[in-house]
Amino acid sequence: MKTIKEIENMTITELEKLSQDEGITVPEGFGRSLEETVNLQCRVEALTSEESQPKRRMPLVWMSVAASVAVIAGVGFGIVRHESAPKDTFSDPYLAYAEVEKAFTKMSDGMKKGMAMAEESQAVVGKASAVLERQEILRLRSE
Amino acid sequence: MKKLYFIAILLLAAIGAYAQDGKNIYNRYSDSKGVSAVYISPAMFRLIGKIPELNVESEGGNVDLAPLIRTLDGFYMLDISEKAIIDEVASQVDQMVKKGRYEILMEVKDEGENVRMYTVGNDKTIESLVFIAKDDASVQFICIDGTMSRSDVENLIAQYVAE
Repeated sequence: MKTIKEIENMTITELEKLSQDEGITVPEGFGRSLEETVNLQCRVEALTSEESQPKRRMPLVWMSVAASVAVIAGVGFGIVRHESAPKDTFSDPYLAYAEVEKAFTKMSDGMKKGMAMAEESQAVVGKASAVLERQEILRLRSE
Repeated sequence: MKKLYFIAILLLAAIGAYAQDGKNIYNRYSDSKGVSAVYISPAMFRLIGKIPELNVESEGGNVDLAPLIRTLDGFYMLDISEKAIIDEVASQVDQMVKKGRYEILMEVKDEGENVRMYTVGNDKTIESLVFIAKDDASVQFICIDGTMSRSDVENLIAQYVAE
């Protein structure tokens, strides 16, 4: 009986001769089991070839990029829409001008307070420097 | 992938940095309860600039306000008496001032009232003038944006102080 290696090394011509040799009997059901084995092997090869293919990551990456951009654009658009220019409070320019004048008056009131406090402190500083001058004069006289 | 996340984070940070200026503070609180708000747009300032008599009398003679008015881009004012948001608004203004290029012009603390004025600009022009006066019962916030001549603004305020 030939070994599998011997059979693998045989040429097509030799295999044809063997197949025509009626002296060699084929076991019952051999053809069907061979067919099933070959089909099974084909299926296994098909599965392993799918696994060996590199996973398609690119679409997922681009989907996440698109989602991020959409979120950022949505947030930005929301902010811009929310912060859009407000409506004029007055339709009459005279009233608007009066409000501007009032604002400058308020600012000047604040500045007036600051200047008044600065003047008060200047009076105190003036007194202190007058006292120091007198003491200096007395010291010079005593020398 | 890490680069993409980094870029996304930078974009979000940029949006965050967009936050604070007078207009944003005005938009945030102008519709709140206990807030009286005034906004004057550049278009309204152009109309004001066309008013014939915008002179202010002073010792040195009349000063024409029209050139100053025409340089203004926006006027935002909030007068808040709602105690719940007084501190919040004051804090927002503090943040705005810290983040921007604001320079303090004046601060007065007297009898529980804190008054501050800030400007943004250079030696010749003022781009933004911010005024905030806060006490226990109220806070007033005024923000004037534009390209104002510094000397014009100083003269104007000096005239009001002298009155």
